[in-house]
Amino acid sequence: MDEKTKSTVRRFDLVTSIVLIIFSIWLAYESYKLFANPFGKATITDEEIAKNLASWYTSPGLIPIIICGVLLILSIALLVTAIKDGARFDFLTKEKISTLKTNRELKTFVTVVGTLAIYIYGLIPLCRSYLHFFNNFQGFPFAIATSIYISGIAIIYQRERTKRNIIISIIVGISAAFIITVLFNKVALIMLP
Amino acid sequence: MGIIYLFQQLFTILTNPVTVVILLGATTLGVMIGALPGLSATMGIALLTGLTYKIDSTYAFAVLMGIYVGAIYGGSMSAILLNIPGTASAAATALEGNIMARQGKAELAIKVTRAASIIGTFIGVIALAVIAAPMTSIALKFASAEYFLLAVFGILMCGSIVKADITIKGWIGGMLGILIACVGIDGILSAPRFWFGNTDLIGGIELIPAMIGFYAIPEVIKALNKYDEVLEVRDLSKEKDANLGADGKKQRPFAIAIKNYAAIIKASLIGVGVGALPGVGEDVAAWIAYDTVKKGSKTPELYGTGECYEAIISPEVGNNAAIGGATIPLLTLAVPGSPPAAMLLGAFMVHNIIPGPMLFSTNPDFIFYIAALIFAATIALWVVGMVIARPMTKVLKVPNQYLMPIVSVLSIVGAYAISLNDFDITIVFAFGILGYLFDKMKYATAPIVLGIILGEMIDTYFRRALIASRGDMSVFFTQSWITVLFCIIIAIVLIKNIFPKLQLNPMYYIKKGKKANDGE
Repeated sequence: MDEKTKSTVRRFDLVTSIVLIIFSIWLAYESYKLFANPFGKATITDEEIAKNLASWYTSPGLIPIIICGVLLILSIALLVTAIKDGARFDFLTKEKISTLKTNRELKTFVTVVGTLAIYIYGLIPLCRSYLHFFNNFQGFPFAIATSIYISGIAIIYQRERTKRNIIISIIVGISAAFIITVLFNKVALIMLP
Repeated sequence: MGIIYLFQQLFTILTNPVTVVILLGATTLGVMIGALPGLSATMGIALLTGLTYKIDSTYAFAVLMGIYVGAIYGGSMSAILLNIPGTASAAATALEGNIMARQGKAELAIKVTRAASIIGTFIGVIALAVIAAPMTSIALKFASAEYFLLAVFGILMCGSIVKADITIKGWIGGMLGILIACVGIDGILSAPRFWFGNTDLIGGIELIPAMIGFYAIPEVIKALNKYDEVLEVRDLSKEKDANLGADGKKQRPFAIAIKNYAAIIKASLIGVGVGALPGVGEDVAAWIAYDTVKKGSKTPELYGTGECYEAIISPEVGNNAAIGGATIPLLTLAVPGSPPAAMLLGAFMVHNIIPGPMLFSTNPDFIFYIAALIFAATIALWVVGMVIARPMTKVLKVPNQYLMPIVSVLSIVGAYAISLNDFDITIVFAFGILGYLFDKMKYATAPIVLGIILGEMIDTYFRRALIASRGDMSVFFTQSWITVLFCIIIAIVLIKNIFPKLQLNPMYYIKKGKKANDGE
């Protein structure tokens, strides 16, 4: 790892360690609740709590609370390492945040995650609800949703967005989607989302 | 006896034409998956597990083992042709392999790595067939305390060896994995944990969708980030005389490999050993094999010149021998030795095969069947490799903007197919985002995945041991010689990583004392 990457990673570590410290304390508290009331009863007597605590070694919260303890120690060690390596909260400036807008990796991440979310939570359910046209081809709505998704990604990430490339992207998207659908739904008899 | 059973199973496989055809097809697909940068053996097995679960398990395992063997080898093709390892386990191969390719010896380099891969896999399979039975008899002595310590040892080792940055992060990953495994109904009291009112979480986080998310989606994002990079693939058809040596005679790849027998012996031992360590796997095995062979080389000056065959043989023997190595703890202890083996564990469970010491009594032929499948896949690799090398240069030219959305669609279909549950798609999505962020922050994926796999073992066996001893913690240190051994190893791993400068070898202090005395 070169120095520049290391310094960026340590800044990430600084933030992650704090998040992990808070997370481990919160989860340890949730685990403690499992000691006292393992089945999450709405009302529980003091005697029941005492009984549950007496048999601590059977509690479903035992391993989680131990792991949270270990995680807390490791997160503190990570925080110390990050600070020792020179990481500071100096990245919370307007300039640094504005450079993120032009960061190519971040753009790709947001685009890919966004399009995948649209595909999973938008296109698939929408096509499932409105495009059930063929009783003997149940995978049709999935094929349509998938065609749109594959073509969309292929168009977004074309090196040159010429008419020819857009047409190729659409052809690839439609043919890939229908091949996947027929292969899995009709040949392998796998249910599709 | 193990070898006899292995060949018996091999005979059964090779006399079934359907299995042979499936193995040939799966190995071809595996080579393609391994060769394409961004697709890995783990991802291939992850996708195919869901897509083959309706097929008869005999054939489904043939597909998965073919993919496993093919993909581990396939990585070396793009390493040689593009200088981009298709899988991380081929990264060491790229160092010398690509230099050979630039000198017009790409085809010969591919053939030599194929020979090395076949030899490595073969040695790994033999190790699996020979070691599995004695290993099982030791594992049968394991009670709850031993299983708990084995799982803790696995996560600690994996976190310390497979790391993208510092050891703390490997261990943090392992702990997070265990916590993920704790979501859902617990194995002792059947109490629901960490479900926060979401009924989907009561069933827990399924391993296969989580692994598909972890391994596939981050690669899709990374590959699409480089969408405008033009890959220069070497054209093998222009290398007509590549197989001719300096004396004008045709060079035989197997002969070249066997000439480097010392490197093969070292690399295969390392491959089997490292492969057998929980979660460590082929990538690390390849690097350690390369590094060890290089350090002990009689011709270190040849490294980096394009003339050093041991530099491409050692990592390939190492990573392929690790396949057999990783399968040993997977089948005998239910602890996977590598990320692809972790995926196989999930696949076995989908097909109602429960790995572990009882496997020998419940399904005695299974271990040898899997060993024979790896062996048969190696033979298939030999056949496929001869045919596929030249067309592969065309496959490598498939642009990522077409390939990657197809990979994400297959990830979703593969995850959904097993339980037909929409929540599994959400798991792929969520773990995909998490996987990418972890990757950016330099957290290795293997310890997290191993934590998810071994989390249940840690939770259940820890409490079972305490219930049997009525809460007496000393059971973990004194129950048997195995617990004592595990405690010592765990202590050494911890001390070595927490105090890296501390010397644990007593000879160091004896020599130091002697030196001081001599000085006086």
